[in-house]
Amino acid sequence: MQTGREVVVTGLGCITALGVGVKQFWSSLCNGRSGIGPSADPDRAALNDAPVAEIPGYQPADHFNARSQRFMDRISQYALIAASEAIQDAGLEFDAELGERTGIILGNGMGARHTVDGALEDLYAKNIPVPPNTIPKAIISGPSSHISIQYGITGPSWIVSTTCASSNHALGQAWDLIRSGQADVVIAGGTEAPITVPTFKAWQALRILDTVTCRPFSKDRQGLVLGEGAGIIVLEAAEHAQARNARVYCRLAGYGCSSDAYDLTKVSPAGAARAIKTALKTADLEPVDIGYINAHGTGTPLNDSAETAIIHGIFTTHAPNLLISSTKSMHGHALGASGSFEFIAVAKALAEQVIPPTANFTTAGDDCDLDYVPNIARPAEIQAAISNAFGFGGVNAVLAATR
Amino acid sequence: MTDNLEQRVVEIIAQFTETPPSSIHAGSTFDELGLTSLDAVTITYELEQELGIELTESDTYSINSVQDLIDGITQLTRAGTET
Repeated sequence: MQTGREVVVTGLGCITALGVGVKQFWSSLCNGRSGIGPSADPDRAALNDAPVAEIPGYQPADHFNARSQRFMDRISQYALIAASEAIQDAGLEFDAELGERTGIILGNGMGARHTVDGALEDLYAKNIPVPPNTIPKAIISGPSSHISIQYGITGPSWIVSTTCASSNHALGQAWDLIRSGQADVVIAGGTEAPITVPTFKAWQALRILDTVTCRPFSKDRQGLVLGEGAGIIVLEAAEHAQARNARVYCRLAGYGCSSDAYDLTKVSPAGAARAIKTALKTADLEPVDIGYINAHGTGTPLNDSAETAIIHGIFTTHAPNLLISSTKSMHGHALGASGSFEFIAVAKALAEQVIPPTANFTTAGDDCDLDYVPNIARPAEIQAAISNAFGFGGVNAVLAATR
Repeated sequence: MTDNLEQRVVEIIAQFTETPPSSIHAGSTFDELGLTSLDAVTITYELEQELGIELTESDTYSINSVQDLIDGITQLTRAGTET
């Protein structure tokens, strides 16, 4: 069911708990090294050593001057750091003509928590008036606007907010913009900075955070571990990439999304399955073509067994052959940015023919009976992969990529 | 007071623009300093916090130069002493 133009991946950039840059990210994934641990940030002391996946040693001043910091929440800072790497990696230089033919579509789930939570604390606890930079700094579309201003990108730009599925929806919409001819290039992905004390405590109150680490598909898993950062993927019309001899990581071949109309926090097998089937259909792929699944794999008791059942339902006899991993075990769950990290993992897996593992794996959980590539990366010949994201609110988005 | 105020305004703007204070003088317009209206509002807020005063909204938006800012604050502090 391929319609429209072919879309390829020509640039990658990220900042995550595994450090700054895709090189560091990918080598950590391949070594099964997790970025999860107690926070080293004094501003997060009230988390009482609960595990988080924070960017190690992040200091805004290492990346931005004082004036930029005044108007950029961390969601914008992270997005710009990742975008700068991805644009350089793609070898793109924007003039007026390319700027007009380029879009920016990013996912974000939680908004500018550092700015909003900080202003509220100042106002209520310290009686400090709210400063005038609060609104410009806190607008949720700040990340895409800052990238647009920095690079002179004047095509379509917006932020998609669908909780944990935000990045996958953003990449899917970017794919549509290129396929339909509205853009030749889209800077796509996601950004999230949810680790403030009040926002962390709100997640904790839901009782779905693991108190030790993130252990997807393991028997002893307790829940997710909050992460932060941004992942940027440069998507490009294949003909555009070819004309400038760009290096191609993989094709973004299909995209499926659906809504559960079921529950705010529980995964509906039917909704998630429809998103996977649509992703396969739009990519002209059969279940048997898929070699790797980057699972949603949050590490919550409910998600991982439900996701396993959904995979069995769609892939039937091929399910045991699939290599499945949850890289959230290493970069944590960065909510609206997670899908961007995971799509970078998929693009690198297809390009390098190496499957990143599920780290922190102990013994398989009940109803978790597939090959989760436990703890050690595995070289494998794969032609196609999918990346799952099932968000709170019952929103699902699945991406299909091919070599 | 006025000399000290001018010095402090220049220092805050210099910090904001990350330029040496010697490159900023009372006659500099915000345009010349590369400051947008959003920057001007933010600088005004920082001065208000430091000096414990509050300029009205219409005052804030008529401020286009370092001198305007000094004048606005001087007027406000003088009014404060007179009442």
